[in-house]
Amino acid sequence: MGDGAHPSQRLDDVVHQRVRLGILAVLSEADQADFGYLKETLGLTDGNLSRHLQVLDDAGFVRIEKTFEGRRPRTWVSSTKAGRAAFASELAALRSLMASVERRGAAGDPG
Amino acid sequence: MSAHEELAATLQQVEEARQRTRAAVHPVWFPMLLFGVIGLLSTPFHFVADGAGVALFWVVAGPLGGAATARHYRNRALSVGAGMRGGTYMAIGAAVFVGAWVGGALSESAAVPLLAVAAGYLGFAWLDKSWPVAAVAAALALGSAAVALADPAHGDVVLTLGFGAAFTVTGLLLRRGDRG
Repeated sequence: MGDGAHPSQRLDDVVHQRVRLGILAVLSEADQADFGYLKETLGLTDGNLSRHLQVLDDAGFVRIEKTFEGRRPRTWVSSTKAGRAAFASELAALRSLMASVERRGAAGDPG
Repeated sequence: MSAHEELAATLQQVEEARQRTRAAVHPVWFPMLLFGVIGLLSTPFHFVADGAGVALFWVVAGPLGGAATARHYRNRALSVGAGMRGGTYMAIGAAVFVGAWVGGALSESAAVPLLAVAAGYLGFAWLDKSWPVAAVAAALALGSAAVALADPAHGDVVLTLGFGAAFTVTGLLLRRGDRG
């Protein structure tokens, strides 16, 4: 807040995408979540989730760890410090934007 | 869909994902129920060896309860597919154990160790964002402080019974709402 820019200027393209925002939302409440949990919670296909995780991984927002339980592979995802900060910042920008839209609506500004 | 509706929908989806995950990864009913039952079981030990029995009981039951809770959280994380690493929980659990032990050594009243337990559960409530746990812990803190100050006859026994019953009932109620 406080930098005077319109809230939309503070939205991060990497985080703002709805699926990626959902992944970071889950990881804001859990230290780690597995691929299956993310897929089910966010209603995604394997390919779709993999693609978005890759984007977040490339941006340094998540850490992906592959483990084995017996012979069964399991992929765990956790949020990095940068990921948690980006999510918090995005959420603040969205809320600020929402408040801004509501203020304009209350003032009867069509634009 | 208007910009306002789109923003509201996005924020709602984010909040739903957070709430669902919070409920999945914090089976707080388990330590409430377990330590409530342990508290009730500890009551007769107040009358053993002039009160030393209850201290000995908790030296054994406390770490066992903590280990059972850690195991439950770990198993839960593996079955649900999401969880906490638990370092902060273990640190609070250890602080409660040490605080209760030191409090018990410095005071003859069982209310003082229970103040440490209440403080610990306020910490757990903060971690789990659980108002029911916070309310029960706050009630325990107030009750412990009152008993420690007024020192009524058998106040520590009544307090332990109250603590055990309140934690057991809260644990059972929270378990009913658990979807994990």
